[in-house]
Amino acid sequence: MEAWDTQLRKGGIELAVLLLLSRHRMYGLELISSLSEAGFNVGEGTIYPLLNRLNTQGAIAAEWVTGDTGHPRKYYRLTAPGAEQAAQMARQWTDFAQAMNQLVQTTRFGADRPAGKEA
Amino acid sequence: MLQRESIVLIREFNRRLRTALRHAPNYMRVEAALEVESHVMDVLSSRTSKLPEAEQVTEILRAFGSPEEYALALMSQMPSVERMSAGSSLREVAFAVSDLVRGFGHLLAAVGRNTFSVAWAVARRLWQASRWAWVRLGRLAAWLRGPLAEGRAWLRLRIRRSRELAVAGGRASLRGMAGAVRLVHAGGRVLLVVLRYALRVLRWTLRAAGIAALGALVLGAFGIALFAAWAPDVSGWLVYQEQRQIAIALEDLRRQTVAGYSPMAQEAWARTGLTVMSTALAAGLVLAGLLGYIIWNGRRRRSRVVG
Repeated sequence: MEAWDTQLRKGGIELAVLLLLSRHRMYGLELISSLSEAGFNVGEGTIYPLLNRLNTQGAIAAEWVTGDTGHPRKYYRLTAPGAEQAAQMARQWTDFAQAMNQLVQTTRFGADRPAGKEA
Repeated sequence: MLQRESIVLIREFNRRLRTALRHAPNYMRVEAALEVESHVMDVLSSRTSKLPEAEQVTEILRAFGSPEEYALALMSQMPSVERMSAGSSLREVAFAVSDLVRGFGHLLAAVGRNTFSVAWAVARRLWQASRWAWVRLGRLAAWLRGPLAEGRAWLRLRIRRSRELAVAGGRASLRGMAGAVRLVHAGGRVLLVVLRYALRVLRWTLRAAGIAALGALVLGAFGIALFAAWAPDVSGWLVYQEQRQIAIALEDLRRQTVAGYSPMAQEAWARTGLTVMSTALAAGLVLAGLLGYIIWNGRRRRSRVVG
Protein backbone atom coordinates (compact mmCIF):
# COMPACT_ATOMS: atom_id res chain seq x y z
CA MET A 1 0.00 0.00 0.00
CA GLU A 2 2.79 2.36 0.98
CA ALA A 3 4.66 1.51 -2.19
CA TRP A 4 1.60 2.27 -4.29
CA ASP A 5 1.08 5.58 -2.51
CA THR A 6 4.73 6.46 -3.05
CA GLN A 7 4.49 5.61 -6.75
CA LEU A 8 1.29 7.60 -7.09
CA ARG A 9 2.82 10.70 -5.54
CA LYS A 10 6.01 10.21 -7.54
CA GLY A 11 3.98 10.31 -10.71
CA GLY A 12 2.35 13.57 -9.66
CA ILE A 13 5.45 15.38 -8.42
CA GLU A 14 6.50 16.67 -11.83
CA LEU A 15 3.07 18.18 -12.49
CA ALA A 16 2.95 19.61 -8.95
CA VAL A 17 6.31 21.32 -9.46
CA LEU A 18 5.26 22.83 -12.79
CA LEU A 19 1.96 24.05 -11.33
CA LEU A 20 3.67 25.69 -8.36
CA LEU A 21 6.23 27.38 -10.60
CA SER A 22 3.42 28.68 -12.79
CA ARG A 23 2.46 30.97 -9.87
CA HIS A 24 5.85 32.63 -9.45
CA ARG A 25 9.51 31.78 -9.47
CA MET A 26 10.81 29.82 -6.51
CA TYR A 27 14.06 28.52 -5.11
CA GLY A 28 14.65 24.95 -3.96
CA LEU A 29 13.70 25.21 -0.30
CA GLU A 30 10.66 27.34 -1.11
CA LEU A 31 9.48 24.69 -3.55
CA ILE A 32 9.98 21.89 -1.03
CA SER A 33 7.97 23.84 1.58
CA SER A 34 5.17 24.58 -0.91
CA LEU A 35 5.02 20.93 -1.96
CA SER A 36 4.89 19.88 1.69
CA GLU A 37 1.96 22.24 2.32
CA ALA A 38 0.21 20.71 -0.70
CA GLY A 39 0.65 17.24 0.77
CA PHE A 40 3.73 16.13 -1.17
CA ASN A 41 6.58 15.27 1.18
CA VAL A 42 9.55 15.36 -1.12
CA GLY A 43 13.18 15.20 -0.11
CA GLU A 44 16.11 17.18 -1.46
CA GLY A 45 17.45 14.02 -3.10
CA THR A 46 14.30 13.89 -5.26
CA ILE A 47 13.47 17.52 -5.95
CA TYR A 48 16.85 18.80 -7.15
CA PRO A 49 17.45 16.00 -9.68
CA LEU A 50 13.90 16.57 -10.96
CA LEU A 51 14.50 20.31 -11.28
CA ASN A 52 17.78 19.65 -13.15
CA ARG A 53 16.00 17.36 -15.59
CA LEU A 54 13.19 19.86 -16.20
CA ASN A 55 15.83 22.57 -16.70
CA THR A 56 17.71 20.42 -19.23
CA GLN A 57 14.46 19.66 -21.06
CA GLY A 58 13.63 23.37 -21.22
CA ALA A 59 10.40 23.19 -19.21
CA ILE A 60 11.86 25.49 -16.57
CA ALA A 61 14.71 27.98 -16.53
CA ALA A 62 17.13 28.53 -13.67
CA GLU A 63 19.19 31.52 -12.67
CA TRP A 64 21.49 32.24 -9.77
CA VAL A 65 20.55 35.36 -7.84
CA THR A 66 22.56 36.96 -5.07
CA GLY A 67 20.06 38.94 -3.01
CA ASP A 68 19.70 40.09 0.56
CA THR A 69 20.59 36.69 1.94
CA GLY A 70 24.24 37.18 1.03
CA HIS A 71 24.67 33.78 -0.58
CA PRO A 72 23.67 32.97 -4.17
CA ARG A 73 20.33 31.27 -4.56
CA LYS A 74 19.08 29.34 -7.60
CA TYR A 75 15.62 30.45 -8.69
CA TYR A 76 13.47 28.41 -11.04
CA ARG A 77 10.75 29.75 -13.28
CA LEU A 78 8.36 28.21 -15.77
CA THR A 79 9.16 28.73 -19.46
CA ALA A 80 6.70 28.94 -22.33
CA PRO A 81 7.29 25.30 -23.41
CA GLY A 82 6.99 24.36 -19.73
CA ALA A 83 3.65 26.14 -19.49
CA GLU A 84 2.39 24.19 -22.52
CA GLN A 85 3.64 20.97 -21.01
CA ALA A 86 1.97 21.82 -17.66
CA ALA A 87 -1.32 22.60 -19.39
CA GLN A 88 -1.24 19.29 -21.26
CA MET A 89 -0.30 17.34 -18.15
CA ALA A 90 -3.05 19.10 -16.15
CA ARG A 91 -5.62 18.12 -18.81
CA GLN A 92 -4.41 14.52 -18.76
CA TRP A 93 -4.51 14.48 -14.95
CA THR A 94 -8.03 15.89 -14.89
CA ASP A 95 -9.21 13.25 -17.36
CA PHE A 96 -7.45 10.53 -15.39
CA ALA A 97 -8.88 11.76 -12.06
CA GLN A 98 -12.42 11.97 -13.51
CA ALA A 99 -12.16 8.47 -14.91
CA MET A 100 -10.83 7.10 -11.63
CA ASN A 101 -13.45 8.95 -9.56
CA GLN A 102 -16.18 7.55 -11.76
CA LEU A 103 -14.79 4.07 -11.34
CA VAL A 104 -14.59 4.45 -7.57
CA GLN A 105 -18.15 5.80 -7.42
CA THR A 106 -19.56 2.79 -9.23
CA THR A 107 -18.07 0.36 -6.71
CA ARG A 108 -18.78 -0.32 -3.07
CA PHE A 109 -15.57 1.49 -2.15
CA GLY A 110 -17.10 4.75 -3.38
CA ALA A 111 -20.26 4.25 -1.34
CA ASP A 112 -18.24 3.40 1.80
CA ARG A 113 -16.09 6.56 1.63
CA PRO A 114 -16.39 8.68 4.78
CA ALA A 115 -18.34 11.88 4.28
CA GLY A 116 -16.37 15.06 3.53
CA LYS A 117 -13.35 13.32 2.01
CA GLU A 118 -12.75 14.22 -1.67
CA ALA A 119 -11.15 11.84 -4.12
CA MET B 1 28.64 33.20 8.34
CA LEU B 2 28.97 29.47 8.82
CA GLN B 3 31.14 27.94 11.50
CA ARG B 4 34.31 26.16 10.47
CA GLU B 5 32.95 22.72 11.32
CA SER B 6 29.87 23.29 9.14
CA ILE B 7 32.04 24.43 6.23
CA VAL B 8 34.16 21.29 6.58
CA LEU B 9 31.04 19.08 6.52
CA ILE B 10 29.67 20.79 3.38
CA ARG B 11 33.04 20.67 1.62
CA GLU B 12 33.46 16.98 2.38
CA PHE B 13 29.98 16.24 1.03
CA ASN B 14 30.67 18.22 -2.12
CA ARG B 15 34.07 16.62 -2.58
CA ARG B 16 32.48 13.15 -2.55
CA LEU B 17 29.68 14.40 -4.78
CA ARG B 18 32.12 15.78 -7.35
CA THR B 19 34.12 12.56 -7.20
CA ALA B 20 30.98 10.53 -7.84
CA LEU B 21 30.16 12.85 -10.76
CA ARG B 22 33.73 12.84 -12.12
CA HIS B 23 32.71 11.37 -15.48
CA ALA B 24 29.70 13.67 -15.81
CA PRO B 25 29.83 17.01 -17.69
CA ASN B 26 31.71 19.71 -15.85
CA TYR B 27 28.71 22.03 -15.54
CA MET B 28 26.81 19.29 -13.68
CA ARG B 29 29.58 18.90 -11.12
CA VAL B 30 29.82 22.62 -10.49
CA GLU B 31 26.07 23.28 -10.30
CA ALA B 32 25.39 20.26 -8.07
CA ALA B 33 27.94 21.40 -5.47
CA LEU B 34 26.65 24.99 -5.54
CA GLU B 35 23.05 23.84 -5.14
CA VAL B 36 23.91 21.79 -2.05
CA GLU B 37 25.73 24.69 -0.45
CA SER B 38 22.95 27.15 -1.26
CA HIS B 39 20.25 24.79 0.07
CA VAL B 40 22.08 24.28 3.36
CA MET B 41 22.42 28.05 3.82
CA ASP B 42 18.70 28.53 3.03
CA VAL B 43 17.59 25.88 5.54
CA LEU B 44 19.86 27.22 8.28
CA SER B 45 18.64 30.77 7.81
CA SER B 46 14.96 29.75 7.71
CA ARG B 47 14.81 27.67 10.88
CA THR B 48 15.48 28.37 14.51
CA SER B 49 16.85 25.33 16.28
CA LYS B 50 18.66 24.87 19.54
CA LEU B 51 20.86 22.19 18.06
CA PRO B 52 24.50 23.04 17.32
CA GLU B 53 25.00 24.31 13.77
CA ALA B 54 27.18 21.37 12.74
CA GLU B 55 24.46 18.91 13.79
CA GLN B 56 21.88 20.84 11.81
CA VAL B 57 24.14 20.82 8.75
CA THR B 58 24.64 17.05 9.11
CA GLU B 59 20.87 16.56 9.28
CA ILE B 60 20.28 18.76 6.21
CA LEU B 61 22.95 16.94 4.20
CA ARG B 62 21.48 13.59 5.25
CA ALA B 63 18.24 14.63 3.52
CA PHE B 64 20.11 14.47 0.20
CA GLY B 65 21.10 10.89 0.91
CA SER B 66 24.74 9.90 0.60
CA PRO B 67 26.73 11.91 -1.98
CA GLU B 68 26.95 8.81 -4.18
CA GLU B 69 23.19 8.18 -4.02
CA TYR B 70 22.50 11.85 -4.78
CA ALA B 71 24.90 11.71 -7.73
CA LEU B 72 23.10 8.61 -9.01
CA ALA B 73 19.74 10.36 -8.66
CA LEU B 74 21.06 13.42 -10.52
CA MET B 75 22.43 11.38 -13.40
CA SER B 76 19.41 9.05 -13.59
CA GLN B 77 17.27 12.10 -14.34
CA MET B 78 19.41 13.20 -17.29
CA PRO B 79 17.49 12.58 -20.52
CA SER B 80 18.86 10.20 -23.12
CA VAL B 81 19.47 11.24 -26.73
CA GLU B 82 16.23 9.61 -27.88
CA ARG B 83 14.13 11.51 -25.37
CA MET B 84 15.73 14.90 -26.08
CA SER B 85 13.45 17.36 -27.86
CA ALA B 86 14.54 19.19 -31.00
CA GLY B 87 14.99 22.53 -29.28
CA SER B 88 16.82 21.22 -26.22
CA SER B 89 19.31 23.47 -24.51
CA LEU B 90 21.97 20.75 -24.64
CA ARG B 91 21.95 20.67 -28.43
CA GLU B 92 22.05 24.46 -28.54
CA VAL B 93 25.05 24.40 -26.27
CA ALA B 94 26.67 21.81 -28.55
CA PHE B 95 26.14 24.03 -31.60
CA ALA B 96 27.49 27.04 -29.73
CA VAL B 97 30.53 25.07 -28.61
CA SER B 98 31.20 23.81 -32.14
CA ASP B 99 31.00 27.39 -33.46
CA LEU B 100 33.38 28.47 -30.74
CA VAL B 101 35.77 25.63 -31.59
CA ARG B 102 35.68 26.58 -35.29
CA GLY B 103 36.32 30.25 -34.46
CA PHE B 104 39.11 29.36 -32.10
CA GLY B 105 40.55 27.05 -34.75
CA HIS B 106 40.67 29.95 -37.24
CA LEU B 107 42.34 32.14 -34.62
CA LEU B 108 44.88 29.43 -33.81
CA ALA B 109 45.60 28.96 -37.50
CA ALA B 110 46.19 32.71 -37.94
CA VAL B 111 48.40 32.87 -34.85
CA GLY B 112 50.19 29.72 -35.96
CA ARG B 113 50.79 31.12 -39.44
CA ASN B 114 52.13 34.41 -38.03
CA THR B 115 54.24 32.65 -35.42
CA PHE B 116 55.60 30.24 -38.01
CA SER B 117 56.46 33.00 -40.48
CA VAL B 118 58.23 35.02 -37.75
CA ALA B 119 60.12 31.96 -36.54
CA TRP B 120 61.05 31.09 -40.13
CA ALA B 121 62.34 34.63 -40.81
CA VAL B 122 64.39 34.60 -37.59
CA ALA B 123 65.86 31.17 -38.39
CA ARG B 124 66.76 32.26 -41.93
CA ARG B 125 68.48 35.43 -40.61
CA LEU B 126 70.40 33.38 -38.05
CA TRP B 127 71.50 30.87 -40.70
CA GLN B 128 72.67 33.66 -43.05
CA ALA B 129 74.42 35.42 -40.17
CA SER B 130 76.17 32.19 -39.19
CA ARG B 131 77.40 31.70 -42.78
CA TRP B 132 78.67 35.33 -42.90
CA ALA B 133 80.38 34.85 -39.52
CA TRP B 134 81.94 31.55 -40.72
CA VAL B 135 83.42 33.29 -43.74
CA ARG B 136 84.75 36.15 -41.59
CA LEU B 137 86.31 33.69 -39.16
CA GLY B 138 87.99 31.97 -42.09
CA ARG B 139 89.51 35.30 -43.10
CA LEU B 140 90.67 35.87 -39.52
CA ALA B 141 92.30 32.44 -39.50
CA ALA B 142 93.96 33.23 -42.83
CA TRP B 143 95.22 36.54 -41.45
CA LEU B 144 96.60 34.80 -38.37
CA ARG B 145 98.33 32.21 -40.54
CA GLY B 146 99.40 34.72 -43.20
CA PRO B 147 100.29 38.37 -42.55
CA LEU B 148 100.51 38.03 -38.76
CA ALA B 149 102.75 34.96 -38.98
CA GLU B 150 104.86 36.78 -41.56
CA GLY B 151 105.09 39.77 -39.27
CA ARG B 152 106.28 37.54 -36.40
CA ALA B 153 108.84 35.92 -38.64
CA TRP B 154 110.09 39.38 -39.73
CA LEU B 155 110.36 40.51 -36.09
CA ARG B 156 112.31 37.36 -35.12
CA LEU B 157 114.70 38.04 -38.02
CA ARG B 158 115.19 41.65 -36.95
CA ILE B 159 115.84 40.61 -33.35
CA ARG B 160 118.46 38.06 -34.49
CA ARG B 161 120.06 40.60 -36.79
CA SER B 162 120.26 43.19 -34.02
CA ARG B 163 121.89 40.58 -31.76
CA GLU B 164 124.43 39.79 -34.47
CA LEU B 165 125.12 43.46 -35.04
CA ALA B 166 125.11 44.03 -31.23
CA VAL B 167 122.64 46.86 -31.56
CA ALA B 168 121.21 46.97 -28.02
CA GLY B 169 119.00 50.00 -28.26
CA GLY B 170 116.53 48.73 -30.80
CA ARG B 171 116.40 45.16 -29.44
CA ALA B 172 114.17 46.00 -26.47
CA SER B 173 111.61 47.73 -28.63
CA LEU B 174 111.74 44.87 -31.10
CA ARG B 175 111.21 42.37 -28.28
CA GLY B 176 108.28 44.47 -27.02
CA MET B 177 106.76 44.47 -30.45
CA ALA B 178 107.28 40.71 -30.77
CA GLY B 179 105.60 40.17 -27.42
CA ALA B 180 102.60 42.23 -28.48
CA VAL B 181 102.31 40.36 -31.75
CA ARG B 182 102.54 37.02 -29.91
CA LEU B 183 99.68 38.17 -27.64
CA VAL B 184 97.52 39.16 -30.59
CA HIS B 185 98.26 35.87 -32.29
CA ALA B 186 97.37 33.83 -29.21
CA GLY B 187 94.25 35.88 -28.53
CA GLY B 188 93.19 35.58 -32.15
CA ARG B 189 93.54 31.80 -32.09
CA VAL B 190 91.52 31.50 -28.89
CA LEU B 191 88.80 33.74 -30.30
CA LEU B 192 88.79 31.72 -33.50
CA VAL B 193 88.31 28.42 -31.66
CA VAL B 194 85.54 29.77 -29.38
CA LEU B 195 83.59 31.47 -32.19
CA ARG B 196 83.88 28.50 -34.52
CA TYR B 197 82.55 26.20 -31.79
CA ALA B 198 79.67 28.58 -31.02
CA LEU B 199 78.77 28.78 -34.72
CA ARG B 200 78.80 24.98 -35.02
CA VAL B 201 76.39 24.72 -32.06
CA LEU B 202 74.13 27.41 -33.56
CA ARG B 203 73.95 25.70 -36.95
CA TRP B 204 73.23 22.27 -35.41
CA THR B 205 70.50 23.83 -33.25
CA LEU B 206 68.90 25.46 -36.31
CA ARG B 207 68.99 22.16 -38.22
CA ALA B 208 67.46 20.29 -35.24
CA ALA B 209 64.72 22.92 -34.82
CA GLY B 210 63.89 22.69 -38.52
CA ILE B 211 63.58 18.90 -38.35
CA ALA B 212 61.44 19.11 -35.17
CA ALA B 213 59.12 21.70 -36.77
CA LEU B 214 58.74 19.54 -39.86
CA GLY B 215 57.97 16.50 -37.72
CA ALA B 216 55.38 18.46 -35.70
CA LEU B 217 53.72 19.66 -38.92
CA VAL B 218 53.51 16.12 -40.29
CA LEU B 219 52.13 14.71 -37.03
CA GLY B 220 49.69 17.61 -36.66
CA ALA B 221 48.41 17.18 -40.20
CA PHE B 222 48.02 13.45 -39.61
CA GLY B 223 46.11 14.07 -36.37
CA ILE B 224 43.77 16.59 -37.98
CA ALA B 225 43.11 14.23 -40.89
CA LEU B 226 42.26 11.42 -38.46
CA PHE B 227 39.91 13.68 -36.49
CA ALA B 228 38.23 14.96 -39.65
CA ALA B 229 37.70 11.40 -40.85
CA TRP B 230 36.22 10.10 -37.62
CA ALA B 231 34.28 13.17 -36.41
CA PRO B 232 32.86 15.02 -39.41
CA ASP B 233 29.94 16.63 -37.58
CA VAL B 234 31.41 18.48 -34.60
CA SER B 235 28.12 19.59 -33.04
CA GLY B 236 26.48 16.18 -33.37
CA TRP B 237 29.63 14.54 -32.13
CA LEU B 238 29.71 16.79 -29.05
CA VAL B 239 26.11 15.94 -28.19
CA TYR B 240 26.74 12.23 -28.75
CA GLN B 241 29.90 12.33 -26.64
CA GLU B 242 28.14 14.05 -23.77
CA GLN B 243 25.25 11.59 -23.76
CA ARG B 244 27.64 8.66 -24.06
CA GLN B 245 29.65 10.13 -21.19
CA ILE B 246 26.54 10.41 -19.02
CA ALA B 247 25.36 6.88 -19.84
CA ILE B 248 28.79 5.36 -19.14
CA ALA B 249 29.20 7.35 -15.91
CA LEU B 250 25.75 6.28 -14.76
CA GLU B 251 26.51 2.63 -15.39
CA ASP B 252 29.84 2.96 -13.63
CA LEU B 253 28.24 4.63 -10.63
CA ARG B 254 25.66 1.86 -10.40
CA ARG B 255 28.40 -0.77 -10.48
CA GLN B 256 30.37 1.15 -7.89
CA THR B 257 27.36 1.33 -5.60
CA VAL B 258 26.70 -2.40 -5.94
CA ALA B 259 30.18 -3.90 -6.25
CA GLY B 260 32.20 -1.27 -4.40
CA TYR B 261 34.77 -0.60 -7.14
CA SER B 262 34.84 1.52 -10.26
CA PRO B 263 35.56 -0.28 -13.55
CA MET B 264 36.02 3.11 -15.21
CA ALA B 265 38.80 4.06 -12.80
CA GLN B 266 40.66 0.87 -13.71
CA GLU B 267 40.06 1.50 -17.39
CA ALA B 268 41.33 5.07 -16.98
CA TRP B 269 44.59 3.77 -15.50
CA ALA B 270 45.07 1.37 -18.41
CA ARG B 271 44.31 4.14 -20.90
CA THR B 272 46.79 6.46 -19.18
CA GLY B 273 49.46 3.79 -19.30
CA LEU B 274 48.90 3.20 -23.03
CA THR B 275 49.01 6.96 -23.72
CA VAL B 276 52.28 7.37 -21.81
CA MET B 277 53.84 4.38 -23.60
CA SER B 278 52.82 5.51 -27.08
CA THR B 279 53.99 9.09 -26.38
CA ALA B 280 57.34 7.80 -25.12
CA LEU B 281 57.67 5.60 -28.22
CA ALA B 282 56.90 8.52 -30.56
CA ALA B 283 59.34 10.80 -28.71
CA GLY B 284 61.99 8.07 -28.83
CA LEU B 285 61.56 7.66 -32.60
CA VAL B 286 61.88 11.43 -33.17
CA LEU B 287 64.99 11.65 -30.97
CA ALA B 288 66.56 8.64 -32.68
CA GLY B 289 65.95 10.24 -36.07
CA LEU B 290 67.50 13.49 -34.87
CA LEU B 291 70.53 11.78 -33.44
CA GLY B 292 70.99 9.75 -36.61
CA TYR B 293 70.89 12.91 -38.71
CA ILE B 294 73.45 14.69 -36.50
CA ILE B 295 75.83 11.69 -36.61
CA TRP B 296 75.41 11.29 -40.40
CA ASN B 297 76.00 15.01 -40.92
CA GLY B 298 79.12 14.92 -38.73
CA ARG B 299 80.56 12.00 -40.71
CA ARG B 300 79.77 13.73 -43.99
CA ARG B 301 81.63 16.84 -42.85
CA ARG B 302 84.62 14.84 -41.64
CA SER B 303 84.87 12.91 -44.89
CA ARG B 304 84.71 16.23 -46.79
CA VAL B 305 87.62 17.65 -44.69
CA VAL B 306 89.73 14.49 -45.13
CA GLY B 307 88.99 14.42 -48.86
